[in-house]
Amino acid sequence: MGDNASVFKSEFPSAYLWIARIVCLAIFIVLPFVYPQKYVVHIVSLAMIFAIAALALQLLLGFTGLLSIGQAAFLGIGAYTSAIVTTTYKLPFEIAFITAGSLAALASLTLVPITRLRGVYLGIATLGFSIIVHLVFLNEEWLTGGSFGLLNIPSPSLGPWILKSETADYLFCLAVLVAAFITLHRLLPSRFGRALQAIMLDEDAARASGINVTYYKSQAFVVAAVITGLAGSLFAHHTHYLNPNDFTFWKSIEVLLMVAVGGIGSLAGAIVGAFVITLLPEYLRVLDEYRMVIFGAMLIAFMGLGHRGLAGLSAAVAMRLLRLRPQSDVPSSPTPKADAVAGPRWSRQ
Amino acid sequence: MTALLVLDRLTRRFSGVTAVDSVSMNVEAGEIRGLIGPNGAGKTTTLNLISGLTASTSGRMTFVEQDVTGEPAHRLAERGIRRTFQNLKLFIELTVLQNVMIGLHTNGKSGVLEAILATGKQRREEQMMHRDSLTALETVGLVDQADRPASALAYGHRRLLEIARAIVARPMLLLLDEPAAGLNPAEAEALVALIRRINAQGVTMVLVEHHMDVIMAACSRITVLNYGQKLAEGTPAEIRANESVIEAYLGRAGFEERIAAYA
Amino acid sequence: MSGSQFIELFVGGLAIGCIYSLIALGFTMIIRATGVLHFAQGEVVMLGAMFGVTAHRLLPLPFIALLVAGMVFGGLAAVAIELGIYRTLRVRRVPLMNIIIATVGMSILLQNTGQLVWGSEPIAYPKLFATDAYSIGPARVAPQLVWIIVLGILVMVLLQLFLAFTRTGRAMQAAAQSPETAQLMGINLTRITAYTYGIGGVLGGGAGVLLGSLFYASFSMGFLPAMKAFVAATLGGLGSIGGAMAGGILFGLIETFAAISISTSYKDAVGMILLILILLACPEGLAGLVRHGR
Repeated sequence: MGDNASVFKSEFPSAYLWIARIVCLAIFIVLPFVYPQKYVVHIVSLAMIFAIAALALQLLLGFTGLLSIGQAAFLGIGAYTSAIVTTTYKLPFEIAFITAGSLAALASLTLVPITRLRGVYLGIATLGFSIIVHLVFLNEEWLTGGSFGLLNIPSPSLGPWILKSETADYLFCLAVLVAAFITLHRLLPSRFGRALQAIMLDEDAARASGINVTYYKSQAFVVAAVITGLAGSLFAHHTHYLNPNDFTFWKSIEVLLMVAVGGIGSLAGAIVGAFVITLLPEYLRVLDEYRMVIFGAMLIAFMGLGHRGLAGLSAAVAMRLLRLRPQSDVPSSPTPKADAVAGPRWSRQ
Repeated sequence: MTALLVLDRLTRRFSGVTAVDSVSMNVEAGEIRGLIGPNGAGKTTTLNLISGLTASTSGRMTFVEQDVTGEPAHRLAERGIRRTFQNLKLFIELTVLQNVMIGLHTNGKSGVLEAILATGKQRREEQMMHRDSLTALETVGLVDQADRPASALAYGHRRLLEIARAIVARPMLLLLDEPAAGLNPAEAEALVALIRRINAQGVTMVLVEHHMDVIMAACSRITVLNYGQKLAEGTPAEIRANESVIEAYLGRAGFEERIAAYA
Repeated sequence: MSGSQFIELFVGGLAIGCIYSLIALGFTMIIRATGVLHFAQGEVVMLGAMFGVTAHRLLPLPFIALLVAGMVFGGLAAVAIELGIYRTLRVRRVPLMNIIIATVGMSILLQNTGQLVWGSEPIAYPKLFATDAYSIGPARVAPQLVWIIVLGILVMVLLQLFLAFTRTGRAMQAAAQSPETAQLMGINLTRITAYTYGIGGVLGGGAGVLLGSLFYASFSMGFLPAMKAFVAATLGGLGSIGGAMAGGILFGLIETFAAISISTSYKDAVGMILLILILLACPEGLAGLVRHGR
């Protein structure tokens, strides 16, 4: 009943979920043709790129219980790697894309020692990592152009086709997003995914069942880094210009906001959250100077939705509309125990 | 032929407290060893040492004639030492079946790539794990609850689920930490029968329990701990008659009363 | 380094360190009592600074009065936020993570509100100290640095006395150790949590006034000092009051002395690397080292 990758899994039969997904996909494919304004296509592309990063964080936070406030580092590593490979070394995009993911994965290996930290301490350490990486982007001007930025990054290309138009680039980002979703959708019910969830729910019991916790936590970081690095590459070739300010620790916090708002533990939620966090400030532009004040207030309001976030809210609404009775007996998405993520109380450590 | 599990002067100190004090114990293959003692005697710590959840301060541990002293819990689990927990450590938000399948983690080899590519090998492995998990659930009698969330299970069934998760990988040594806690007499009887069934399949067991009926009925030999030290060891009959054991549990005064009651 | 240079740097480092300590204490007390990483603490600092300078515009008050004004406003603002927002979320039983993110939202809200109310331009604090520098040995030291140290330490001492000797203070200690037991003893957790945020706000507001008098007041002033104070609190050991005080002062000193020796742009990175190393070696920071050393 339902499927394992969604907070909706308990409420909806698999068929409903897949229909919803296909409908959403169709809408996104059609969107740039219905609203061909450059700005619309651009902003939705950005939202999709960040959705990929949010999905990666969901793997860490929602399914392994690892609080990472450092994902912007991998976005940046992927972005700069991809940009440098195409501009300085003049290699084709495909190579840049793959190198971006690989270097991000390598960089994530430096986090292996940190995996034994728990809760907020892990968050702080990843935040520190994000700050250090940002400083490297800022200071190593010979490599990244520093605060002058990196210019003239080419559009992505697949073989002989250069995806020059906004629409082509948009569709490519959509394709990568779909691929990322399917990847995580397959990982979660697998042996690997079960190990991660076991670690999140009870580390000792996971160990007692033969799971090497450090190894799997590290693997989770690597997988998340690859996905995020690829998103970074998309970002670079979409905006054609990179600046270290795009990858401050604040961006790491934004990715966290996306997952929290969308719903911890839901893949669809990560995507919804990414769209909300990316698009909401744009919608709020009408409010001029009150924009960020309202954004802050809305953020607080979203937090009142609990851990199931907007995805959970949508599920509840959809259930009522479709007149489905809530199944009292069925599992909900694994709730990262508040402690698992935010750490035990200090006085008890 | 050496015993399956050999504890040689195993000791565990926590800043100031010696929870397990130079305990030596040989567990023969195929036996059901009871581990009893008053509260605070060090029984759970001993299980934690055997299962690798806690590291020993000194002493050695041998399993299947190999020195496994200091090995981490997941390595020992791979070697065939599995356990249940005193306070239940289920993956409460997952289904009953998923809980058991995690017990089979060491029997699988599929990783990230195989999962993403949905290879034939991975699918066959998942089917195998699925089948074996259902078999384990059948053994404990929970197979009809396989798709329910673990949180929906009654307490007694949760205990059975933990046992299923521990036996699904056909361990050589199964450690049970107070499996009868909170069970009513009927359930306790069923538990003894289950323990015997599992043992008949070739699983050696160490059973920590306070429930004396269960211990006396299920165990072939019993080790008694007190204040972290081994107090006595022998068959159920020998332990029942052992004066120092009775004194440890009931105290001197209790001992006299007990004698008076039997008189 | 000459003797006078050393003294000047030391006093400067101690002064900024006291400011960090005050902010760090706020972080630590809130995290100890509720587990919440209060991202909006920097904005409380800003509110204190802003209120202080606004108060001076209305009435020419001596510095002490401004300090008190900033502390009171900071405290009230913090209590209002806690009772109005955070408690509402707690009552809805949202996970801790959501509350922490709500503090991020609060930080955004307050910073931008501050910009609306007080404008984007930094506001200078009036000159409230004698212009003559004090002489300490061969060194000449700005009087406000000395005042900051004195006032900062005074506030910290008062805090310690409050926690140790008043009923409310002891109740707060109890609640931080074990909320369930504290409740059983009749301690009203809602009130205690409000007090905790309030004290965090008082300390933060005070730090804001001191910080403003040292540099200037602006809507974004709280962010960076709060980040550094948080690092300091972690170094000292999150959850330890003594650790927050020691960590803040230590961080201030290290930062001031490092500024002349490591004049590279990686100065901040050094702090971060140090932070990660300490987290790995001893997550409980200095306080943990002291505890284990016994």
